[in-house]
Amino acid sequence: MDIFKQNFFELFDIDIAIDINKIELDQKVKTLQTKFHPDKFANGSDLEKRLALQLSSHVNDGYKILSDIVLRVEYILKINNFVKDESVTINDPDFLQEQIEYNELIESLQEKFDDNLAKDHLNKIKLLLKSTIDDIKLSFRSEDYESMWKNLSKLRFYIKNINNLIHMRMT
Amino acid sequence: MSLLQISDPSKDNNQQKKFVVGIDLGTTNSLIVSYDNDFKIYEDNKSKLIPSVVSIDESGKTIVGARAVNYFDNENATHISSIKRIMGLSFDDLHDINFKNDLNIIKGKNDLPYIKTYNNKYNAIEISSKILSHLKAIAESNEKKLLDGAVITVPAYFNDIQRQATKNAAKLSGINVLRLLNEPTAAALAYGLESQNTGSFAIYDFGGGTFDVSVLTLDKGIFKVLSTDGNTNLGGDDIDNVLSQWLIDNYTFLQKYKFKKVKEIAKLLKESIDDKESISLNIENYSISLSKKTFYELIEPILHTTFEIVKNAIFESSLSPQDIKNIILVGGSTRIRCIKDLLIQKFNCNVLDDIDPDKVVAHGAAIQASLLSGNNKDNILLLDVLPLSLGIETYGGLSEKIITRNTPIPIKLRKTFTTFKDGQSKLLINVVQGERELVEDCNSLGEFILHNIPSMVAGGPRIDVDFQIDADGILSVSATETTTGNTSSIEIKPSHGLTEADITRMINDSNDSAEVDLQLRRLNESIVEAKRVIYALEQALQSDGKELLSKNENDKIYEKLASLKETLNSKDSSLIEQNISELENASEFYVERRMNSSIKSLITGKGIDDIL
Repeated sequence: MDIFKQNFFELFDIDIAIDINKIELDQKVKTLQTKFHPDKFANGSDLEKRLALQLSSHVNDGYKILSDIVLRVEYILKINNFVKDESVTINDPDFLQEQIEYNELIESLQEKFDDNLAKDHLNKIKLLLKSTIDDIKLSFRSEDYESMWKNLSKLRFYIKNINNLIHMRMT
Repeated sequence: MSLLQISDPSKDNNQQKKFVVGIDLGTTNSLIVSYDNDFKIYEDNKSKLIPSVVSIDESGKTIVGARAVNYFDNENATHISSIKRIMGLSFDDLHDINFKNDLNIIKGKNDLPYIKTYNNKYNAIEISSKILSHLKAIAESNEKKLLDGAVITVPAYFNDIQRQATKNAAKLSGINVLRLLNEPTAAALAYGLESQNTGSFAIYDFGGGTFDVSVLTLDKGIFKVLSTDGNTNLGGDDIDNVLSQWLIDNYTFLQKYKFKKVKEIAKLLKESIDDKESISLNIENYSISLSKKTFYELIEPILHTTFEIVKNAIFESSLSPQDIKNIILVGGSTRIRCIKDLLIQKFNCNVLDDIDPDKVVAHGAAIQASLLSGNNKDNILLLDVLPLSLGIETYGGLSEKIITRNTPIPIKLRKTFTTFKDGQSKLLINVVQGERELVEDCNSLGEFILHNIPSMVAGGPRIDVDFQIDADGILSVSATETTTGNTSSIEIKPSHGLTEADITRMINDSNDSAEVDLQLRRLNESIVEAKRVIYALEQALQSDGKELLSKNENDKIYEKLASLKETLNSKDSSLIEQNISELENASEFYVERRMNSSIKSLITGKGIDDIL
């Protein structure tokens, strides 16, 4: 089908960008699922059922990728044909130091939870995340995919830590 | 709204209403309900809640439901309850769960646990199918009609094997499963329609043997599950077990009783304590008493576990706890008074319990059945998620997650594999489900063996393997070798449980109907499918055939359409099936073209508000 050849930004008619409007994406997904979810073809022919399953899966796949910042940035690199071996390590001593510090912090919080400490660090990482995303946006604007890619590991790391800290504070 | 219709059942005005039901196949009780503006619950011996109990006596006579409970006095019969707790489990899995009973369980074929009766043995799928057959018979005799289909509910946290087992049990009892529906989602549907609530809410579903939480949003008739979490072996049963153990420890005279009998006493205490400070019972000149304080202390660890699961589900939904305005109570175990108070206290929100917690799941299933069958034309849609991550085994026994939990379903993932030896003709993929890093800590769904890989040097073949999860949350796997374009055949070896072939054989064994009946059934099915295909296509051609097809394309489809119509009276199912597939091949491009053009008009042609 034609739509399987389009990229997900085209499928949902959304501009290719680092930031996306989640509400708009959500609405578009709902609009398509309202029409093509397999439940709508429970009485359909086998052909319709098969196509609906494919289409609905495709829409969900697009939603999953576009709604997640890490997957979205990876996807933007992919549609710009920038593919790089995952195992290539980046030499960035400052970031390495950051990683060590945060891992130590998480360990100490796991031993003895201190909500104020967790909150402080959460706010710090959120700022770091924001500046990383800003960097990625700048690189994207200048089509510097190499540095976008370099920032991906930072992006993954900050998001993982933010999730860890939020989870710790909640439970 | 001038959208292109693919095939809209609401336009099918010559269609008669179908007899469809929702089935809540519960650990302790089951319900079977139909919905047509109002709910109709089919009763077994005047009881709406039908005990999920099967009794099999020494002659092999089987009694199910309300009458099976009365049959408990027969010492020689085997009484099987809570079978849902072992659905889809292997014999070895039983050690990990708290399945206390007086049954004799043996290890049988494919590692499945079998329950030994006087002169036979049964697996969980067979026992469940006896319950389902019983439910079906009750509804059919009440309506004096044959059942067209059913929506069957399962715990949201059921894995692939447990879902497949439930579907197989239904197949075995001759029920056409329209959809497996997650229990909390079913409850949300029932509540959402009744209350017209919108926004985010959590479903706290604490049943006889399972605990589930789902976090959903409801917006303009679309129920969207954001996350789900649970424990398929945590329920009222565990409360009864804890209480039974306490009784045995504190009232030594009970040690001479069978565990089942002690459990009945425990249940009675649990159900009668309500908000009284303490209660007592007299048994054999002994007085047993239980205070509310002791009871709450005993069950506190179980409730604590459920609250932790709720927190986790909210976290996974990416909402903050303040976003959850309502928690909906589902399942008989939520009748324990302190649960409601504790939830309000811990989550600072409203707790809704106006629909009977024993019936709400069945109500939701009945609504979904009426929607899927086309009887009910309301614009409602349920969007659910995969409850447990799917992974494949990689080097070192690690699970590489390929689809993470809480991904909206249906979903498909393609992964490319290659060989690591020259001339390798087979490839083995172990698919697991679960969140843990190590394969041994996850559930193996089975081994998929790809055969007929073309002989090439190591790393030469590119084999695309598609992992498709359908709307029931069930996985299917297919593979294509891309350098040659061959579809590799896949052999599926379930880690435990039954293969397709086993199920087919069991259906045939249980079907004492003659070969003629089977042929007749196949003929009827092929005619129904043919009519569906013809109807859908004619509707489509009428609405946009001229715009989307060239004269030549149009003629070709009409030609195949005419040949299919001619075969309808042939009484030859193979001929009809062949013509259906020819027509489908000839029209597939057209259906795809319509879907494409429909998507374009949906997404770009109009503002979103015009469409919804």
